[in-house]
Amino acid sequence: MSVHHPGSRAGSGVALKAIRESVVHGGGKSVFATLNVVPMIDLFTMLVIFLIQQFNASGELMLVNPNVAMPKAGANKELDRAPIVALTRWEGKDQPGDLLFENNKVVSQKDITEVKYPSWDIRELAVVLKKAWAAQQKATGPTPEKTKQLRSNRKIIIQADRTVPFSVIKMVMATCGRNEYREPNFAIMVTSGGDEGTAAATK
Amino acid sequence: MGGGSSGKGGVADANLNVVPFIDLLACTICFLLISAAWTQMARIDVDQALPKASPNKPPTPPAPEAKVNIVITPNGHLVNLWNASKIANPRPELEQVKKIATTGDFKLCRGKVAGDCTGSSAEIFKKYDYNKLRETLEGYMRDCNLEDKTKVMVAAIDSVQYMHLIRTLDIILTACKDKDKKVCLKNPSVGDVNLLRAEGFTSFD
Repeated sequence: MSVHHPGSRAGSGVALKAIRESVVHGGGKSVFATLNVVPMIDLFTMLVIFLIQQFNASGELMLVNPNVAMPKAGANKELDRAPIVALTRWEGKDQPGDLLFENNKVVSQKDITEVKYPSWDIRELAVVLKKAWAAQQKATGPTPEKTKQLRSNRKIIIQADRTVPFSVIKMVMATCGRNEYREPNFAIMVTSGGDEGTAAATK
Repeated sequence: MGGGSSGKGGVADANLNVVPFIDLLACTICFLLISAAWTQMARIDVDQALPKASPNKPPTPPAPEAKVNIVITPNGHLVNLWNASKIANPRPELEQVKKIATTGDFKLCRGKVAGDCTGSSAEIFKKYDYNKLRETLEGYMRDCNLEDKTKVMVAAIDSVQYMHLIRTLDIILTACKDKDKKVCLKNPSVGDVNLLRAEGFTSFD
């Protein structure tokens, strides 16, 4: 057997001195360091609680139809729970949007004209509003005061696209007013400066 | 982590394996961050100005009160202060309708940030002079010493888009008499332009 030039020793490639010593000399001292994860778990738990609270406060309060781009304004009154009338995008008389009540289509905006409804009472919407009011009268809260408050709530959220003409808005407001919902709340996106603040000027 | 034992009596040093718990928390945080609604919604309350159901007149006519009337037309705003000649600090000239014209157009892109957009995603809107409208309203409040209970009526021509109604209501609700914003207009009513024909508005051009 021929004699070879000795190669590098085991453990000589290990960078850290303590570990190299433990590998080479069998380890006189333990280098097994545990990571203290308790503060990290605390942090995660607090983060989860905070996010759940935020989600509970604002999420799921109002479903936004993808065809509704709500106008922007600086108002800061919080939305309350109330029935929602949505008016989707108006792309001209050829492509008018729809009127939805609680995300169900009620009538096309093409039909909402003073010619068809001279008294501004949209019959199809009136029917669903009457049903909703009747259902609201059967609602019960945890306390008698809360029940009374629930049953007498005349608010209605009008969630309209920014392109919807006023002729449709006024007839929807009039119909809601004549069918118990006399306090219209216009839903908006909160931004100071309005929509024109985020727009590019055209020539 | 991990369990282990030491000592002669076989004392169990059982550590709780927290790795699955950390995984669970991390997944929950990711889910909540992704699904949270980051856009904040709010509301604007208005009163409805509908024609009265009862034809009977009230027994005693109320004392004349100043009332701010605003009409949104496709060409701009028309504003007046009705009954300005019958209040404590009479200013009859404010009953004349003041025109605040639009100042051009602006483009919004649906579902995208502002920039290059064409086709059905591009929407062109009239640019209304909201600064001038705010100055006018605040001028009415200062000149005639109006209170925050002052009635405000907003009407619009049928073709006016909803965005302009909301922005006008927003300006009304932030128009104040003083810099401290203690006395500001509130509770505007929304109605049809025909209700204003008897209050100084003869045409809506």
